[in-house]
Amino acid sequence: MFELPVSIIGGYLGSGKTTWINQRLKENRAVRYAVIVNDFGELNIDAQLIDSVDQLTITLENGCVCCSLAGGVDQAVQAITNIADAIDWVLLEASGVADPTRVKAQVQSWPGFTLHDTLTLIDATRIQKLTKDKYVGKHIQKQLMEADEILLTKTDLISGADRSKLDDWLCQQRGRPSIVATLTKTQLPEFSTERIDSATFRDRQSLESWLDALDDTTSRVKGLVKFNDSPDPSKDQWFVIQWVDRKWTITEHQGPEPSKPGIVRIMAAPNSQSVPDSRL
Amino acid sequence: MIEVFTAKHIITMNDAWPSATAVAVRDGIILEVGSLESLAPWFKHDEHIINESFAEHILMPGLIDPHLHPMMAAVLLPMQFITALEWKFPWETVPATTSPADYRRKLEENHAALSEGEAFFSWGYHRNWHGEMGRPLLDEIFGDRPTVIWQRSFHEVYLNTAMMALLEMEEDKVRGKHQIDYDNGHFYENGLSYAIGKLNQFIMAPEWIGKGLERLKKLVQFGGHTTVGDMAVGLFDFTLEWESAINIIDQDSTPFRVLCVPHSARLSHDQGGPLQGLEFFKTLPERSTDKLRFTNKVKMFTDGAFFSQLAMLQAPGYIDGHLGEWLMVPEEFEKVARLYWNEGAQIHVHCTGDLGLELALDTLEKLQWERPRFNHSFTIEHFGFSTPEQVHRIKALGANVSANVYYLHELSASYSDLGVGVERSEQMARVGSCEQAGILTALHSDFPMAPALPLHSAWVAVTRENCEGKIVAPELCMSLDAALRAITIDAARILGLENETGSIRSGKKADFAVLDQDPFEIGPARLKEIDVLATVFEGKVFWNTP
Repeated sequence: MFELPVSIIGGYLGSGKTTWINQRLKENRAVRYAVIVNDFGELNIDAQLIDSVDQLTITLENGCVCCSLAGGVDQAVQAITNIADAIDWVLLEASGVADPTRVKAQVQSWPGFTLHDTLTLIDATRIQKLTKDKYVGKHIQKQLMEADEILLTKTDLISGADRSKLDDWLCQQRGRPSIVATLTKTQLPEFSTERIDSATFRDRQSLESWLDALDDTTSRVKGLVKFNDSPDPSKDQWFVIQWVDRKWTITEHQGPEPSKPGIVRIMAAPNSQSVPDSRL
Repeated sequence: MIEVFTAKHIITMNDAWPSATAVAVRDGIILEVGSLESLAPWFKHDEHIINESFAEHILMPGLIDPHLHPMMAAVLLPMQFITALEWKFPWETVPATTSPADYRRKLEENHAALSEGEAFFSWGYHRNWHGEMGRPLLDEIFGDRPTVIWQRSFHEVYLNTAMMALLEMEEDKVRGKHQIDYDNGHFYENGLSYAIGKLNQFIMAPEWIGKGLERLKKLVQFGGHTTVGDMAVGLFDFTLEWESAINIIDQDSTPFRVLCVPHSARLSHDQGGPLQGLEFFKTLPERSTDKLRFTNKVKMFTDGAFFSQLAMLQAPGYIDGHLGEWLMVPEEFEKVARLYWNEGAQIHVHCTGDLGLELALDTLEKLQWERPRFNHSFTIEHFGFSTPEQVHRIKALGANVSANVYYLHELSASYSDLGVGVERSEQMARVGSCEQAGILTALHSDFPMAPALPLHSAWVAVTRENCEGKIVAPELCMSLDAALRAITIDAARILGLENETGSIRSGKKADFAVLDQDPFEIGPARLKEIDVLATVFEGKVFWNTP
């Protein structure tokens, strides 16, 4: 059973979560995100990008979908479940004061989804003060400690000296260097995507070997392919490919002839592992 | 036509005119309270009849629960209660079921009594009393009948195979998920959210809600109430709730009024932002009816549920080190509170832990500094954990308290062991300190979190006896007089209805609770034994018949 990967996007107010998520939605790449947010209002989606709107979801022209938590988390999850085939990745915007342990447990209970990672955005100008805040200090500290990755924002607003002190402090807090990227007002992190022609893999065996060989530099693979070695070529069967976290499935495609066959691979780092020639 | 009700004793809850034996009523309004002799001047100008139905009974002002949740109640009440503690309802007294064998027998009896194919929903299962639960057992008892067993805490359900099939739960998706035990049909904590999403087709259906609200009406009357506060209108769905309330509560047959306090965060969500929410809030009083009233009160929330140990605590926090939960980001809480404060709204804040309370008080102090207000009725709702110092601060800032004392009855023992230790656990709901500090204090049930029986709440407040029979922090007991005020006149003041109800005096609505015993005669320890025989709402008698 394939499960949709979920990334939890955490961080306190003003840490840049909304900016970051907005950027993901506008990229117009092969990745179709479903974003679960507290409120549509804060996203400020450009009307020109919107394809359709109903009470709890907004569908964008690039295939991304936003779901509001206004109707409760189960409704948002159900809405995504209903369109799971059209979605590659789920981003869950955690509340600014979320307890990461609780949010992770929540995601782990959703049928059809799998927790992929937790990204916490950190406002470089405020983080040290926030961890001592009377009300939210303990939550902020926990968000910092339990994140898989840290994305440092507003780094352009602090001096080089402060930045290096902050890096040391973060490293000391978490016990390891852990900043994956920085985000200033002008610079955003990039995912690279690679489109592979559906005719690339002659047989199922070669595809399986390729899928087996993918490592953590790949975030996600999804695709629709046909095999030449199909037991009954007259059936002309399409297959759905799903890969996440080194687990993959190949299942028979149900429904009409796909309009965009092929394989899409999403990478956190640029082309570090391209398809070997021998399989072409 | 004047109707005179006589009684063995009328406790007016008006300190200046405390006791009486007769009360004259016309058009739902109290003309005068006193004795048959003292009422005589009225009889010269209008015909009168004397109603002696209550001659052997005690009259108090109609009781008031300033904080309950009709919609949550409506979801729960259609279920069959099978519980470890006795629950008294007007339609049945649910006896205590305390062994696995008895529990199983109850399930079998219910199965036999239902018609073919009808689904069965039960609430109240608890392993400590009722033994192991699971899908195989439910399949054995209920066969093809779709069945739901809701655990007492609301945080767990068990479904049988027929119900899981009916809900179209797909094994390959559900199996192995966190806090879902597929084989056992057990969905708990986070896993419950998935099950509820599926179950909503039953428990949020209009017929179900309608049945629940009809039961709620009986239950509210049964407790002796003539006024209640719905302290979070819009909790599920504002439109659906308002329509259900109009159809079912706003009827001649309803013997109470509801003060409707909207949920600010839901208003913001529904209207597209806090400012839009505030604009909508300002229009709400226009839709008020006689029985459903919006005023200028609004509900806000600081920290998480007391029953789930998600209250936000100051140091040293919980014994196991887990964190509580903020229901609103504190900065946003302050911003929204300021919007409503500056519009002159009266803010009621759900606060369960002492850090949640601290946020409410820090915010109130800032708002007072920026824009001072008198008689602002800023009210602390629930008041679970607090410190003695905070009580003085509540007083200094002019805030009120509406407390759920049932916390200390049900939870002080278990939270001593598994929550916060004995010292803080036994001092939860320090209502006695509020009384001593002169803070306006009411008691509430937060039903369905606790039984909607005000005299039972008053009993807890004056005795501080927990469910294990232990008296906890007796220094914090309320006086009997204060506890009775807290379910009558002081509760009316908390809701801003004190000119209309809450005491028996000339000019107020003729709202009475008819009791079989006199609380001042039998004393604090036996308060919970008092039965409410009837209520009078705006002059009309409603007997409590099963």
